[in-house]
Amino acid sequence: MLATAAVLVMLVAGTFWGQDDHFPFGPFRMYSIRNELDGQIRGAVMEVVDAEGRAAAVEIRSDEVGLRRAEIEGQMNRFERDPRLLRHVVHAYEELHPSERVTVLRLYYETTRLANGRPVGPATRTLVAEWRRG
Amino acid sequence: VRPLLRGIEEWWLRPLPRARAAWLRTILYSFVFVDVLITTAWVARHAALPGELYRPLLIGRVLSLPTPGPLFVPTVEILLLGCAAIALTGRLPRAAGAAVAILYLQWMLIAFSYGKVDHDRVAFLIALAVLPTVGRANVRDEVQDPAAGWAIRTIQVAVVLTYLLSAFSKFRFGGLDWVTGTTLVRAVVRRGTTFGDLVSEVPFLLTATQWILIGFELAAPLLLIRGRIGRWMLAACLAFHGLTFASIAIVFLPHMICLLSFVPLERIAPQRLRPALPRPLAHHRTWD
Repeated sequence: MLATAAVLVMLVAGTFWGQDDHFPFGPFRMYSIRNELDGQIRGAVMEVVDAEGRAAAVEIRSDEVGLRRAEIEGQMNRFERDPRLLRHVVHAYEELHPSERVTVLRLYYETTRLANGRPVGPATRTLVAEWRRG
Repeated sequence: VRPLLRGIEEWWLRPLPRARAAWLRTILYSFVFVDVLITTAWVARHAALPGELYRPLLIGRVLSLPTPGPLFVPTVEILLLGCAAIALTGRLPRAAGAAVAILYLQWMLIAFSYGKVDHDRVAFLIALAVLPTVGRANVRDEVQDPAAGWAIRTIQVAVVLTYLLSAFSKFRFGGLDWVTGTTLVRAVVRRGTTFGDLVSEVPFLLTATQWILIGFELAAPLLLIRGRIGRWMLAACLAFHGLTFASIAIVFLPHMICLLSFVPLERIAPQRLRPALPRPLAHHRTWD
């Protein structure tokens, strides 16, 4: 019973004071952030350019680039600070697409604006990090 | 305080049939295969990533667990599936079960140390941790056992807490006015399905859904009430997960598997499993 109580206390404590880092005792924070009615929605978007200079959008999924979109987003500030880290993403992409060779990879944030809780206008893109084959 | 604690303890240890624990084991250990090989196959792909992208979580750092790589990840995978296979046979229920619990936790650390922690696994991890404590059990074992009662109720409480504490997380991170925000609009815009897009066309529907969602999460303890209320709440959980999947294509499978701890699995076709024997307890209602 003591062990049960201890785990209970840790789960409750994790909810109020913990962070994701404390897994499995962190807070259950899925979709817990409040979005403003006139706020914006951001998502990571990726694009690769091949040897012929053709640019193509890449869906950020584990079976495309080795990482899930939420994982890329979770490390976005690292990619921004050090774009060379994207070489690992390029590597994973080429492993998963053996016939393709990437010369440029760009990582963007795509932003959709909300007005009164509804998406408005076209989404805009801002470049976060770019990797070029040196 | 003392009578209250004694009451809780009595409730928690009230015997349940060992058969239910045995069914849960069969289902959970089988699900480990589905989870590792199919539904979260992306975990194994972390083997190909360099250590530079590995962001170990607290326990990974405290225990100095190895950085996942092309050798470590498949090793954990094979050990995990091997132990799950042994546990499935019912042999060495404590040792094999404990090994599965530890290896699955390590598997989750491989999964969640690359920038994103998922929140649908706590009940499943707790279930893997407590089921071995029941010891030997099989699906025909109708013996009412306090050890089975403790383990099954612990899983139930973990499920309830997952919902209930999610509501409090929303208050903590989103504020008390989380319900009037546009969190679900964000979810649908980011990963909506055709159904989700249709729903988001209707003004206020997503806000209304947010109210219902918080109400549902706060009502989760009703699952623990025996009889009709508990069954209705269980149905509400299934409806919730069905709608979540339909609108944003997220399914909390490991958590949903744990919902089975509320179902009287021990009543699954005992007549078909042992046709020759009498079944004195087959119609004994033990829904809780």
